[in-house]
Amino acid sequence: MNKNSLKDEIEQLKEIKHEESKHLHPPSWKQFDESISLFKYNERWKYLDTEKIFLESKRIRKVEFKEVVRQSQYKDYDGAILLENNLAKVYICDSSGCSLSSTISPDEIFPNKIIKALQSESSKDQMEANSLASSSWGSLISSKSNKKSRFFYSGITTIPISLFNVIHVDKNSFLDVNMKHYSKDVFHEFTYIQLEKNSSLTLNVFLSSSNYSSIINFKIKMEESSLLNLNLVQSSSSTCSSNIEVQMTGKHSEFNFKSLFQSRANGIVDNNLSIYHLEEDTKSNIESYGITKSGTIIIKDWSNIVFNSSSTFIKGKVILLGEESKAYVIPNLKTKGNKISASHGISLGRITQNELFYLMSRGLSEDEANILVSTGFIEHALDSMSSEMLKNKEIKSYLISSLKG
Amino acid sequence: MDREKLNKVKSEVTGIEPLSLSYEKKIESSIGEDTVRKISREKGEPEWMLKKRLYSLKVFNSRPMPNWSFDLSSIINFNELIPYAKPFSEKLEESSKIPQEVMKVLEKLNIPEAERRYLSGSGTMIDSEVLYRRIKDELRKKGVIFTDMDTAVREYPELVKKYFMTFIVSPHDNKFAALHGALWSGGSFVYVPKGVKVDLPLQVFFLINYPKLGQFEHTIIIADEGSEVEYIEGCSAPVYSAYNLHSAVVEVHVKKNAFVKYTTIQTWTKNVLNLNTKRAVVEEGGTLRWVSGNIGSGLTMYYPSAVLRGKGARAEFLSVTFAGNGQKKETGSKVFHLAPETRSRIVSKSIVKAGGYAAYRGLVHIAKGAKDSISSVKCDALLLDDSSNSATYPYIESYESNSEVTHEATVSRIEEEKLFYLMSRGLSETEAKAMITRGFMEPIMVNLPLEYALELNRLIELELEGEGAVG
Repeated sequence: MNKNSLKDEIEQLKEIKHEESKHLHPPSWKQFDESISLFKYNERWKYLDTEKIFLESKRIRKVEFKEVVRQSQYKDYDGAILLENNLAKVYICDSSGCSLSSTISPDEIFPNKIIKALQSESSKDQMEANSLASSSWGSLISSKSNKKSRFFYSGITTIPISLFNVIHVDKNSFLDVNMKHYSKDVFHEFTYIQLEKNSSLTLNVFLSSSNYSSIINFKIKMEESSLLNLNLVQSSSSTCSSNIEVQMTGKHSEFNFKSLFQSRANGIVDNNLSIYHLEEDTKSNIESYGITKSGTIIIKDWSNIVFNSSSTFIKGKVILLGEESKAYVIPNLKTKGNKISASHGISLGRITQNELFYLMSRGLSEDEANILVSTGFIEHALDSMSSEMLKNKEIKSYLISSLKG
Repeated sequence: MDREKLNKVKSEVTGIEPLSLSYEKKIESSIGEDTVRKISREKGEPEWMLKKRLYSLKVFNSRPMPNWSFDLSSIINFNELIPYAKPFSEKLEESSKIPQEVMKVLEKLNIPEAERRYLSGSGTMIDSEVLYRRIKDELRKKGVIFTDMDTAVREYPELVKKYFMTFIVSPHDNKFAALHGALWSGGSFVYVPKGVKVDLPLQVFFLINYPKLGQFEHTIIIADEGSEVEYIEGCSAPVYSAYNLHSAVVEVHVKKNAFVKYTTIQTWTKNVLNLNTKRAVVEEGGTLRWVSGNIGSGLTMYYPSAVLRGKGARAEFLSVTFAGNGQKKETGSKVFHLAPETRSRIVSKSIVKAGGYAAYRGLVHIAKGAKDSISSVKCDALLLDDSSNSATYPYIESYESNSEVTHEATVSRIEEEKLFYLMSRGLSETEAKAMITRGFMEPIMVNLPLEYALELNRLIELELEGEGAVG
């Protein structure tokens, strides 16, 4: 061996940068897990006795909406809730029109001690604490047995706010809930959803947050032969986290989840989805799309599937447009037995060179071509959700305009 | 395959009885500074290596047990572990001098014949020491170094100082890497000079014979610019009721435009805990191909990784994992794309049977600036019965928008229609299942040397038969 070349190599070795050696010795898997999740799964759910909430909410059902006024603009819906900061208007429609009730305090839905338990829990996250200390509001949306109902919820908030919702779908009923929320301050939502036997719920959620963090938590329980279609669109220029936990406790239940995450400016969109298939012949289909120009997208899906004839399919596509954009995708599967079927497929990256080349050869600049393809990506994702509210021009143009900005 | 042939293969692979070797030196004291000094003294090591060992020991004592996946602290008692056992006094270069008893084992595994026919060099390590090592003279003349680590420490101290647990795997990596750093013994050192192509593979066979022994072999492979080399590892152990720990560290440096193929066929018995740290650094234009067959061992945590730090570096990981009754396995690959135009491909196949557990845990990291990097990950699991478990934990991180990562995973079973079709053509159910399983593993098998592919096929067939090829 040539001694000089060896010396050179040793010199080179000394030059290994600190940055690089950090990659060479990565942290353990556990540290990894922890460093990636921005918001750990919300501890507060431990305090929430969900069965109790459900019973309590049933009890107050009769006193909830009293006054009636006519509101033609929500005539397609059986009820509507309009929230502007801490002022909420609730419309309940029957064949003759809509009904309005005064703002519901969360105390009416959630027993005091639960609220206190929620508030007293020391939170490391100051923003969460702020959120709980500020204005709180709650709603109960429920369907009647053997009926089909549609509800609309719209919120615009510029002050810190927390929402506590219960959605209850009675036996043999269909419920369609559309939620649209623009938040300019801390926004914190807990929603507990219960689907009873043979019921069906379509829940379309659009959440846009800027300036401050927003966190939404869904805890969902599905009974026998129930069907849940959850469509979630999240767009954020700050940090926006969603934690969804689905427990499929009944046979033949089916959960379809479609989501589109957009992170604007330097925003972070963090999605944690956990599905527990707790009975035989349960199905879940997960489809996630993500797009960002200079922000971060985190998608963590976790599916636990151990019962016979159950199936879970996870699919995802993330497009990174700009230099500063980042993405973490962790689709986990845990399976047992050979009578289940499970798969997941993820692709993550840029817009393909072929697509760009085609458009640029037709005279578009690279930026224009990028925007055109991204527009198609967003439209495709929204169209696949088959929801009128999400297909609406307002939401489409809102998402697309932020690509240009 | 008929019953007679199967039995023959079974006796070839699993008929390893404990060897009655007269151990020249054993160190049975618990892990501590004294033990480390004793091992170092026994080997007549220079001061710098002892310092490295003591430093690793310090790290080992300060690091917690891994806290994800399996609960290792309830299985491993470090106080019971025997850190060092030396079965022979001399290192051999002539296969004729190998003791009769050991030769029998090697013959059963077909190693002497393989060495004559298609290997450039071969080695055998029993317990803590390398017994035999030989390389073809023509390669030696070209400057290829293929020796055991102890000899390398003495003869090539500069190279060993540079590579031994420094920038590829450091003692800080994990608790078992630190333990390895303190107690390491034996292993291979391979250096291939610039432009030299080693046509036939180098192979090393590892055997753990002493009960409760921890085997900590250290392997360093350096492929200099434009060189090519293939390295094969095989391993086995007799069945004991007490566990053995196998905690190896492998460091591979693939320099500019070099090619390294690293193949490991692991057929440890179920009393062996297999906790390895294996990593490669690939420079500009270099290619790494890593093929692993994880058939044996009761508990395996194995995440071979590659750091692609030169432009255009490539890595390919192909692995087959089999988990039968009483086997828990977590395997997967980690790839760090640190430079532009780097490529990686991970294909992981696992077959789970009779209550076994196999998980894929992998990471693809694309650093900022790794423009035009492409990575694809595919992990498939085949569950053969109702009591088997499988999981996939893929981690994908991308800090570079100008890159592409795809990941797909499926969990499946043998479909009734396929089985019916084959059985209607006259195959028995077992034969049909074995045929489908072989088809499932095919992408990995084509990358193994023919002899190994055949052996692996047989092993898996044995496992499917329920005979238990690996104790």
